[in-house]
Amino acid sequence: MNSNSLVILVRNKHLKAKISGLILALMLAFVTVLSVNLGWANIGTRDILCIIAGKFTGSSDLYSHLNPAQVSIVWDIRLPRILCAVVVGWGLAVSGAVFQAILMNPLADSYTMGVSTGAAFGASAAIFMNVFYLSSMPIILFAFAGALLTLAVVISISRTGGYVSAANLVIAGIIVSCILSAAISLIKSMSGEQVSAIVSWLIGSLAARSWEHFLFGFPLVITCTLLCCYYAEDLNILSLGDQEARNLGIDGSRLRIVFLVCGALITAVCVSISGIIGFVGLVVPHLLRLLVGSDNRILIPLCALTGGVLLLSADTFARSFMNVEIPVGVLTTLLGGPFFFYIFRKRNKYIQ
Amino acid sequence: MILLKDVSFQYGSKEVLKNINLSVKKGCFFGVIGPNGAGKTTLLKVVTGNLTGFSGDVYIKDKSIRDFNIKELARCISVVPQQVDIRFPYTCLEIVMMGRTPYKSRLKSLSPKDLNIVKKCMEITDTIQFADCLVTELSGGEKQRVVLAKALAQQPEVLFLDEAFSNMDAYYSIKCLNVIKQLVKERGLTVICVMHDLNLVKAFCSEVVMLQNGQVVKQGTVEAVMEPKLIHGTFKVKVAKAGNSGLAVLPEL
Repeated sequence: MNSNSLVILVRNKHLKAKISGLILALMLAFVTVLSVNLGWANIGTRDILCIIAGKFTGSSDLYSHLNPAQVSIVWDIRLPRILCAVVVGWGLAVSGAVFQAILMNPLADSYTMGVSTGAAFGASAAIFMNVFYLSSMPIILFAFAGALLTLAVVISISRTGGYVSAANLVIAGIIVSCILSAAISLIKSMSGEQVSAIVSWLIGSLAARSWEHFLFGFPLVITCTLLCCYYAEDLNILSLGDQEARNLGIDGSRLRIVFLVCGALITAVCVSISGIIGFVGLVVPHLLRLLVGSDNRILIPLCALTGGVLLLSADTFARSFMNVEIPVGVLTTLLGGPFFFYIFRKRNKYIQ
Repeated sequence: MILLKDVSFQYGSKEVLKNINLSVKKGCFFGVIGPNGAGKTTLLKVVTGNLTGFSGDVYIKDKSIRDFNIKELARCISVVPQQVDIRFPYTCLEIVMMGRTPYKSRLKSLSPKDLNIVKKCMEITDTIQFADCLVTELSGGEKQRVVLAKALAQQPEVLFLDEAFSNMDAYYSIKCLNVIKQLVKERGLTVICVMHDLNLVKAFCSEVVMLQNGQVVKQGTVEAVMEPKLIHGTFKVKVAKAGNSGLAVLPEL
């Protein structure tokens, strides 16, 4: 190896990351444009552009020649749903990568920590009350509160002497999510015939999401992602374990809390928008680690883009190519599960 | 350089270290030996700040370890632990580059000077050819060399080694020990190492402490401590002189 070889290695790594980022960003743009055009109502590309341009500039002349129903389909139905899909996919993938690194477990995601189950419990409780007490509890806020409350409980259980270790977090997460699963089943069994409202929420879908959902989720997901990127280098070191982090001058316990809160906030937002959508948080970071390596400074932004592309493609497929719309949560798990199995087998073969 | 005053530590009700007093001078290659469960690793963890809640005092460069902030400590000492569990496929270069963390500010990339240090550390540990390989695909001994390179890249004043050669073959154990000995001579590095291989301890350390049941049996020069009678008393094995400075454990009890 000559004197510049390490410089070249480092440079190549960054170049590869930039190119992958660019390709993914273009793909995201392409899939977004494609998704606005696809759907049962046939609306031309030029009309769609008119509607979007008109809405953004506030001049209704641009789309006044169109049928108000068409305007509504594009602006009130398709666009918010597309943007929600991107935000949720983005968030699930980023939180998956973060949870895997802090828990030092490549198989972890927001389910491992019980945060998703907490959100599901909050949502189920809200639906239950809406149905039986005729109030209108906002499901999204209940899901959000459920996730954060679960996180607080999990952290306080796993804390020993002011110190939160990865192993404790996984155990506490499993305990809490078991209890919450049982609680969800209890609510379901008490709801009698109204159980379908809860079930359909739990399955995970992006149908009928509105601008409010997007505007609620977007700022939080972006802020938390940026924060994770800012600390990504420390996350690399934290993924080697607390002792190594300490030896390199990094306070693992405090940093872990920062990442936990970020990851849980993102998960809470995603689950409260879409219900439970499986496997995005698990598969995306895994796949990208095979392609670009484990450096979280690169991995987190690329996860964000890939997650967005993946979930949006899945949702668009689910709503446009079948006679019946399949909930996207079912689709991602049906496709993601076998795919993950494939990666897992391949990796094991490689190691042997 | 390092001073321990009446250090005791308990895991629950089990007393692991009892009133340890030790002093290690700058530029000393210091060995810690003792049978399983003697408290060697615990001692190292206390001195490196990885265990708090001990009684007594630990001083590094005349400053109590409780007064060090974590970053400052990482610039002063580095540790090669018994086992580093790397579960994510980082490249070896990425791992060794992490050794420069205590010196770099966040969001900045490593300077050419830092990269040069990384390169040198990889060369002397014979890991430069793994730079672009995934650390998860290396053998145990190769991985230990990468972790050693990372610890050296930290440019510490004191290097702690906890069974850092346990998975290396005989050639690389001796080679790495030679590299470290060279640093002791040239730069005045202080080394504190826990090793099971009494032969290597005898050959490379200048001073040794022997522990048993959490207590110091004897501290002193390597000749004074690594004496066949004393070793038999603590380890219950027989040893014989081997080579110029070595010691061989006889395969009989």
